[in-house]
Amino acid sequence: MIQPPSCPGAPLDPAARATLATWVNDYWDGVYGLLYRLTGNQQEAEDLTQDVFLRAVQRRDSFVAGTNVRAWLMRIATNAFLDTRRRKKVARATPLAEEIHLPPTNEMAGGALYQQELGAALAAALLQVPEPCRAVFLLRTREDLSFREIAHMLGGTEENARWHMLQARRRLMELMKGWL
Amino acid sequence: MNCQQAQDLLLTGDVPQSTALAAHLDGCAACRRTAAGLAMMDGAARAWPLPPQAGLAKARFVAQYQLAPDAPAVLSARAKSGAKINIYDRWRLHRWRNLALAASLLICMGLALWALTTGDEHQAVASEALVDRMVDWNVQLAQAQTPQQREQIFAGHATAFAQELAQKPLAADEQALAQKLASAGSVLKTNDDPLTEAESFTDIADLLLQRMNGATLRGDTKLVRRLSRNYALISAHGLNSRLAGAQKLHGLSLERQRHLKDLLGRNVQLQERLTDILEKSPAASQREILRELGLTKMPHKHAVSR
Repeated sequence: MIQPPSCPGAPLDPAARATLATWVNDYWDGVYGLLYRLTGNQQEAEDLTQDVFLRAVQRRDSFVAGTNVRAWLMRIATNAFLDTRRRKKVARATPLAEEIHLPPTNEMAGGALYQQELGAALAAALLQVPEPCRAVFLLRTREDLSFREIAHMLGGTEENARWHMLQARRRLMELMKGWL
Repeated sequence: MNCQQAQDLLLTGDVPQSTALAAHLDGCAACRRTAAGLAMMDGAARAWPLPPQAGLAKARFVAQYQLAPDAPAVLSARAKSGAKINIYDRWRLHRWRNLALAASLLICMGLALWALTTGDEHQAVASEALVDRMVDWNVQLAQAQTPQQREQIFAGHATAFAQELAQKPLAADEQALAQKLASAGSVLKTNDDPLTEAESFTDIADLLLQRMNGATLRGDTKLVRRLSRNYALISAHGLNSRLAGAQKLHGLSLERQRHLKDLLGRNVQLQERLTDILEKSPAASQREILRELGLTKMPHKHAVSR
């Protein structure tokens, strides 16, 4: 039986395995999606997502039943991402800043192709936003978390979370000015 | 309220119910444009789709950590209820049946092909026959019970194969496959590590599928049938058994765990590519390929996607 790499010598017991299976089934897509938008790299997103779930099942006894599992997993995921960025001194898996393509000239702003291209351009632009600001932007925009919840997740203050959001959106507006 | 204050509120995105902000926006086109742009940006971010690899990544993780300990019973119940299960779960559910089926079908396929072939097929290109024999050789090596048996099997053919390869010019893709089979034979002779062997067989299966895909696109049904046979052999007697053995290993280092994870992921991708080829194949070739998948009818594409 394969042992979780973060828990050497301690194979999953049936209860842990059942919990892990449920969480993976219910929350894998959300966690992977967040980590993919944070890292811009599918392989890194996959590696981190696996680590998140394995860490979570290790800590499952500390999880308070009835509280928000998804938010708890997003917290682990965001902190895992930020930890890797703090630790990494060599070239990162995150791709170099991609060129932000200008909108197609023959498409109406509301058209499907325009929206698709806008999404891709925004994803590229987000990777040029500093990591803490990037994380706050995603947690607020995609997860609808309040600044209080974000502050609790990341260990700062509400004011700090608001500041990061402001910086993220300001930078994105600058990068996306051909589009918005 | 001035523009700077309005912009800061808008950019923070935590806009209170403010008559002052509303009044400012009513009178300031620039700030209205900022508000509209931010709304468009937020909408685009919320609409980001999940990357297509998310499902495969999940499948790999579920397979690696065996997250359904009742998998056979659970999958069987799901299958009976008509729920769709992906191709990897289907491989796991029917693994032993597939191994037994593939083994018992080898004789039947051999006899059927012989009965169906014309005189021209008995005079198959020497290079194709060489590759077939090398596949058989690898399978024999994989099935050997002791290192001495492997040594005997290896020694009985290695030199002859090397001479034939040197004397008979093969097509480029056939040559790559033959070289891979030769090197895999060497690996099997000296190695009894399931991970290393599984990697060799995965590489062979990969090359076989590449050739099957090309043959399917060209409409070369004879070649597709032949390659299906080889794929069935490699899959049943090499790849599946080695992967199963590797999953039972204990105390793997982190590197080897990642290696196994990678091989399991590649195996899932092989199954999906095989399904794609199946969908493009003519009916006669489909029957051979369906046997390898352990299916009795064509699967729906979305039923095997994730």
